[in-house]
Amino acid sequence: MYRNLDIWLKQMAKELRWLPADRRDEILTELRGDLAEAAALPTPAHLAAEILSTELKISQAGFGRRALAFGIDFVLSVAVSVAFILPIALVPRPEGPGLLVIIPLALTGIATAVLWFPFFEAIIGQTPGKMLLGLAVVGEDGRPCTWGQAWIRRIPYLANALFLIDAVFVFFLPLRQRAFDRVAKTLVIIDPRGGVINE
Amino acid sequence: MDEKVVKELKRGTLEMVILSLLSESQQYGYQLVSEIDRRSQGMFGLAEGSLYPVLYRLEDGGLIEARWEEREGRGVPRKYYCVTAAGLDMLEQLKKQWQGFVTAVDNLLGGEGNV
Repeated sequence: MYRNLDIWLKQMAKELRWLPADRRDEILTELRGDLAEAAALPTPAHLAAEILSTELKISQAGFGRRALAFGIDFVLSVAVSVAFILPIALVPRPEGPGLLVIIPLALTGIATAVLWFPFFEAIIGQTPGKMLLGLAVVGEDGRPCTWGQAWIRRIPYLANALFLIDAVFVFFLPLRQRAFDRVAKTLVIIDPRGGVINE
Repeated sequence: MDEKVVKELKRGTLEMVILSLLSESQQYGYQLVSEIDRRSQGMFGLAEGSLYPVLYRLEDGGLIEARWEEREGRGVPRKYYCVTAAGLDMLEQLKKQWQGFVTAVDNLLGGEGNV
């Protein structure tokens, strides 16, 4: 229950993240003017889903661009992970760093590899690879991808065979979803905010 | 009555209701919500969420148009909607269809009652 309109509008701005900035600002200004005198504020998620159903122009991303984005992310995440772990390997033994250095570095390297996709998709809706190729991950209702959705859509990456089977679904499902996109109720779309590469 | 059926009935008539209200005077979003609630004596129970997508759809279709109005003092500007000529034509068509529909359903219900 939101009692403060400014806080409500901030939440609403997050919900409408994938609208072009000028349209989003116009809608928020309209809502601010209208709801200043409202006795109760509607739930931002519910209102956002309804508005996005009319306003968000969704264009599903093709397999090629998605695969390329994944390749870029894979290289970047491995590079960052290695950057954390490499110093441990390079320091000569036996006078090498103690466990207090090794463990945090190794954990950071592993965490980078594991968290790379869910972290970026849940926080900003795009991994660096997707950002470079003008792609975004959104919920089927156009709202931002949640942490839960970001983790679910990453499950097949735990096993190589599952990863491949999962990816093949992009060619068959009408919304060009991987199987675990379907489970997570997410879509990979062309960034609808404009200024991106055309498919 | 099944809540889903009521929802569908409201959805099907909301465009006509909004066009009708805007044909009387220009209004902003929340004003429309309040007016619909007042005149329908709460029957519509319209949440803002259902209103804005319809307003944007009507605006995109050229049936209504909007203009921003600055308010005195530090008030936030408001977006007022009014009906266009195309919207008035559409309203007339919708009204005729609605009246025909109501008459037909009344006849059907009345016929059932007489059995």
